[in-house]
Amino acid sequence: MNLKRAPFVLSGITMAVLLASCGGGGEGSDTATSLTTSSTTSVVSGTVPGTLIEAFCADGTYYHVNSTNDGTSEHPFSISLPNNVNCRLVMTTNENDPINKVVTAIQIDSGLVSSGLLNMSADFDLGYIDLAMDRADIDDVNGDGIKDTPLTVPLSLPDGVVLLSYSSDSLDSDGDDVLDYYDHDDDNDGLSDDVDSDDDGDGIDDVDEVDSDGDGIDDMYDRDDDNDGLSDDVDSDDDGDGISDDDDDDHNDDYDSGVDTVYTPVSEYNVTSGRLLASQCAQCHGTNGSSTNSWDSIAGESASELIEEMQEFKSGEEDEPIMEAQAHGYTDAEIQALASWLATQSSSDNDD
Amino acid sequence: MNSQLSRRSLLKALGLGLAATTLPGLVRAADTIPNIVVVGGGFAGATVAKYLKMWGGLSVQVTIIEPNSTYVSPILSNLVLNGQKTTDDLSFNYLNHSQKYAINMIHNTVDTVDNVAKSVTLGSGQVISYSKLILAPGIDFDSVPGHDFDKVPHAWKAGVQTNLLKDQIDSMQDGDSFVMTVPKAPYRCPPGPYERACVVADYLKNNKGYTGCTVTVLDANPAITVEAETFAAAFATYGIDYVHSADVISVDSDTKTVTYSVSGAASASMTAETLNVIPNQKAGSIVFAAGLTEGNWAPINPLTYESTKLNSSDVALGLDIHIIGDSQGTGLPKAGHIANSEAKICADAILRALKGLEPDPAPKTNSACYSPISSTTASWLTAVYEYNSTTKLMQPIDVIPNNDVVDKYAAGGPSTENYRAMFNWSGNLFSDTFS
Repeated sequence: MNLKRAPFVLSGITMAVLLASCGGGGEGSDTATSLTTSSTTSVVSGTVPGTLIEAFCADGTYYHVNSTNDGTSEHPFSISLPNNVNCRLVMTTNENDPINKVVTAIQIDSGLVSSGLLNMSADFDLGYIDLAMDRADIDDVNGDGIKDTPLTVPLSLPDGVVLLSYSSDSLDSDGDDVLDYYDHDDDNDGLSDDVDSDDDGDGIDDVDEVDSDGDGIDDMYDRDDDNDGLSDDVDSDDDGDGISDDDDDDHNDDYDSGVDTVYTPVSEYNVTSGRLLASQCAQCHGTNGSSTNSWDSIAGESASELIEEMQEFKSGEEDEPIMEAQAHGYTDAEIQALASWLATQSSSDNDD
Repeated sequence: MNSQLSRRSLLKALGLGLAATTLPGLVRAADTIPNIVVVGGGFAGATVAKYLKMWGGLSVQVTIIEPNSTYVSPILSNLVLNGQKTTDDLSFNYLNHSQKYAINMIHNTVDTVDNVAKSVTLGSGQVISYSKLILAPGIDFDSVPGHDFDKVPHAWKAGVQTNLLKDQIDSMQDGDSFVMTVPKAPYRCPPGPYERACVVADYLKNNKGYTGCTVTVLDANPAITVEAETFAAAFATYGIDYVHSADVISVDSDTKTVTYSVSGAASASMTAETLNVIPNQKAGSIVFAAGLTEGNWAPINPLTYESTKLNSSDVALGLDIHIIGDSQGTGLPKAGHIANSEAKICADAILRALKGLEPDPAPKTNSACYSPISSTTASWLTAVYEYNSTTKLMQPIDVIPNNDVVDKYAAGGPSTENYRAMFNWSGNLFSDTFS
């Protein structure tokens, strides 16, 4: 059984003012921007009937924001999420009323794809999400206030926002688009997680799995083990067990914050022989030709420079026996191709 | 998580070219993003997973299944024996894979492969479906009777074994003997055993100051397999006793005695204070379990690394199963640097295949290896390999063309400059694989 700890925002420490018709909604502040895992973020916005908006991301980070009561029936919200990280959205109405709160997982139907797994590198607006305010209005077999199926939002997405459909998503073990965190039957085996000793159906007894916050990401790879909105790098109590990390030997996060974790999603697999050939230089010269040490970086030099160097190695004019041997392994056309590709790469500090 | 879920209404986004919501540029029958499952997180597996995401981005999901959350590199691990490195220095984790490249990490074993259902079953019982499966389990050992690894370490997979051997070496007194065996080729890291003999001899003599210790190398091969001149000269300098064509028959692990036969002659035995038997090697057990081996290794197509193993009715057994690293049998050596090299060819070929494209018809791979010869010097060996369309294997290219003797491999003798270069080479190789 996962010990699912309520997220910080629901723990009663921060009680927002209750607003009768809207079921709450405090100041619209995005509390977790410090957690971004990439150099940039994108903003999801929209309007709701007074709601807590949460995002659970595949690197274990957690974000939440309350919609802003602007006096209308459609409260605006915006939440910044990391670029190029897969995330899922959940919205809760009456969030401060345990008896009446309604939790709804969001699925987007783009017309081509229906999925709750979102990957952004651009802002987008969800529009108005007509969330249920009353438990009587949702499918909820066990009456826990969590809608058993996601709410589907039809939406045309802008370039840079992609819906993904995975056959195995750690945030959603059974693929029903209701996150494990709220899914009381993560593996759809008919056993409620309360009595299922193996919630995610991976054959490993839950007591042997270390997923403190029950978000589906094992603590080792979870950048926010207790979903308190503080990344473990700045959280002095990673797993939220009340034991400071200094005295706690069961948190296992040595992830170095501040690392630029952007990778470039490709919209199409472009075959470039130069890139594949140049990748064979990376064993010695670093990924994409950027060396991590005093050996030369070969990224960012002009193609003609690289070709000239390779030819000098080949002829023995440049006395580098290991490079002489390597240069003889590549034809002039291959050297041309790999040099042309390397010239397109940004250089690091070790150019020579 | 244990089955392809087709409940989601995904339109086949084929050829519609809608950037935002189509699944980019991929030809797929399934309605989910292809799940590429990588078994093993060493130099081959860790590299192929990273490059699949670097080059394939959101168009693929990649899962690494690897029992250990920490990988200890065998590369440089002989420097643990002389105290210049620790296994911690050579330890890598998969946080970058998880958080930088969004690769699913599962720490478990894989017991079986179902090539019809296209799924693997983990030690935990969990079943994971794959669109493409990459097996990168490294080596397994063919050990002789009596060989207990906990008493007589092989230290040919780095970590606990490395430290066990180091402790045994450190407990040696002046006058004690160190005996090691070299497995029959092909084995992991061709220069590795000879390198180890040199490093240990240097350590006993020049660090410990022992003048009476002996170092003996029992080589199953008819001669030193690589860098013969370099190692023969070093053996002479250190006074290492080298015996070729010595087949290990059995080991008495309690008394640290190895019984062997030289060129089929009557068996002889040798007892040592520190005995390091490196067993003969074969593909990782999952490759055997999947039925994809011929002899000890897996036949593959070097253009894609896809298995070419056929069953009796000439039907491919290993369709959509790729084998990279030490388990493959292509004529390429078995070592970390070239495992990384193969992984990139494999990643590119898989991404092309998912798009319906043919693989690169003329891939190049390369190997390079720096070997410490002492605590201050190292040698190196390198080659570039090309595809031979007749043999359908990779073969080394002549790299010293202006020599009277055509040599397919270039080597550099021991020097302090090479020793320093060794750390630049390994540093970039480690980062290209794990960062």
